Formats: sequence, C-alpha cells, structure tokens
Amino acid sequence: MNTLKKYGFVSAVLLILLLAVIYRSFSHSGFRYDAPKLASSSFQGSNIITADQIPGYQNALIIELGNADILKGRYLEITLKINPDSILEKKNIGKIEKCKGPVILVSSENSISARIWMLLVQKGLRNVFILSEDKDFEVFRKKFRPDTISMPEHI
Amino acid sequence: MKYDNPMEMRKKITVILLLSGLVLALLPLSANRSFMVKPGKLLSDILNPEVSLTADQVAKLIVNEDSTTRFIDLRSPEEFRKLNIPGSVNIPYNDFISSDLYIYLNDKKVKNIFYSNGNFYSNYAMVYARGLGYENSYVMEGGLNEWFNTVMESIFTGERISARENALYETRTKAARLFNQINSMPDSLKATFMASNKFSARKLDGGCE
Repeated sequence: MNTLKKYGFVSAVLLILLLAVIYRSFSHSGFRYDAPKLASSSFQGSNIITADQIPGYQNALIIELGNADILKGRYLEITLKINPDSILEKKNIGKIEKCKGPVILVSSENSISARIWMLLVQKGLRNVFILSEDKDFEVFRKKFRPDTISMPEHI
Repeated sequence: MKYDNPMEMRKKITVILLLSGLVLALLPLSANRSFMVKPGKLLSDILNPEVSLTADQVAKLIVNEDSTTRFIDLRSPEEFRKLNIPGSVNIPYNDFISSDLYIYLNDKKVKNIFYSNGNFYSNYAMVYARGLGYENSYVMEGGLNEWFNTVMESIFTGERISARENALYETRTKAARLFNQINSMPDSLKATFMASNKFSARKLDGGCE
C-alpha cells in the first residue's frame, strides 16, 4: 500500500502516457504516418513492372481490379480478382498482407491501378507494384509543332 | 547544487522525463503529412467518376476561362516550358509529394486539376491530395497524350454533323488554337501574355464609368 502511494503519481503519469501513445498510433484513420515517404516509391516509376518481369518474382500475387485483358489469361494460378470498391475489405487486405512476395495490381485502366496503389501503400502495405503494358513511364508520345505565325488576341 | 535526499531528485527527474514523453506523444509530429481521411471514404471518393475530367471537359474549361479551376502540371520544369495547358502552374511530382500541400491547395473555392503526360503521376497526386484532406482535387484522364489525341488532333470524319457534335468540335478547335498560340510563343512573351490576360480580365470587371 505504501509502495502504491509512493509510486501512485508516477504510475498515473505512465498510464496517461500509454493511453496517449495508443491514441496516436491509431488516430490516423487507419493510415500510416509520413505520407511523403510512403509515396516516394512512385518516383521515376520504380513501382511499375511489365508482364515479362513477373516470372522473375517469387511468391507474387496478382490482384486483378475488375476485368483486365492485359494478362491475356496468363498467371491465373496467382491471380485474385477483386473489385476496386472492395479492396479494403478485411478478407482482401488479409490476403494481401499474407502474401510473401510482391503484390501486383492490374487493371484495364492505369488510373484505377494508380489510385489503388497509393491507397494501399499509405495503409502501410509494402511491396506493392502496378502492372503496365507500357514500359515507357509517363512519356509524351506526340509531336508538337509550334505555330510561330499567329499571335494571341490579347497582346 | 546538492539534494539532501537523492530519492527526491530521482523522483523529480522521473516526473520531468515522463511529462516530456507525454508532451511528445501528444505533439502532432507529422499530422499534416499523414492521410486524415478515413480509408473507406477515400476509396469511395477516388472511385467516383466525378474526380476524372475528360480532355473535352478540360477544353471547355479552358475556352470558358473558368476562374474556379486551376491546372497543375506535375511534369518536370523542362517539359512544362516546352508545352503546357494554358493557365497551368508547374509543380513537379517529386516536389508535390515532398512539400506541404497547404501552400498549393488551400483555396477551397478552386478546383485543382492534376495532369501529367499519362495517367500515373496525376492519379497518384489526386489520391495523395484527397487523402490529406484536399477534396478539391481532380485529374485530367490520359494526360497530355490524351489531350493531343482528343483535342489537338481532332478531325470530324462523318458525313453529317449534329448540333451537339458541332459544339464539341468547336470547343476543341478553340482550345487547340489557344493551346497552339500560347505554346508557340517564346518564353519571354508567354509570361507577358499570362500577365496581360489577367490584367484585361480585371479591366472588364470594372464596367462603364
């Protein structure tokens, strides 16, 4: 009893500290801290792979978001079909977390894969990649010929 | 300074350390750099078709000189200098992710439309911005490659044109003309043009005296 009285104040402070740490750990809506660091693997397309690179990955899991023709029936044994709007369901997140190898997102639209990728990495899921048919990342494919004759009206 | 009772000193140090720890635990260490929106809501928002704008929708905004929208070009400064959507600002993607977005996106009245050459950077940026609480974030689908496909290289090949198609092609033509004019100017003139455009808009707002 005397010991409790002696250390009561310190214990109370420790308990408050513990509660504060727990609150801080879980207060960010299920996302991890430091969004910039988590997003940095998207720089220069380091999170993008092509179909011919898949055989090089051990224990890969392919998540087909909706119907994607990109794989043309290949790699069915390691493919999981998930609708984009149910990607956050516990069972789906659980399967992704259990995967020992890379998780590869594939969709008929790159935009959907890109959005889901950002969402998943911000939740702290690692080793997530996007499958793209296109090896050239964010390249401008058109030719622009400046028209040096006409001038805008306001000048 | 000597303490008569070493226990007292230890207690004080312990209390100070614990209180410091408490303060550190409660400090918003990186509150503005972590997603604040609930995952379910963010997912619903980013899958909503309304966050994407087609090249035609962007063309209309440019032709109408919509002052409630701002285009953010996520490409490198070199690519931006060569050509860009009229009226856009350049924030290279790496800088966008590394910066405090408040300085760029804090005006809630403005719709921020991200674009890049393709779909990756713009969609990452849109999700990133929305995750940090900036709901006024949108994306031009397909980027500049799609802009060129749809607007710059638009050719009508049918025999008859409906009124709706006519309006569409007219908008595309106007937008393409503006794009050509702006991006064909030397760099020094581009800056002057942007400034004169803003100045003349304010003059019109003045009305008759």
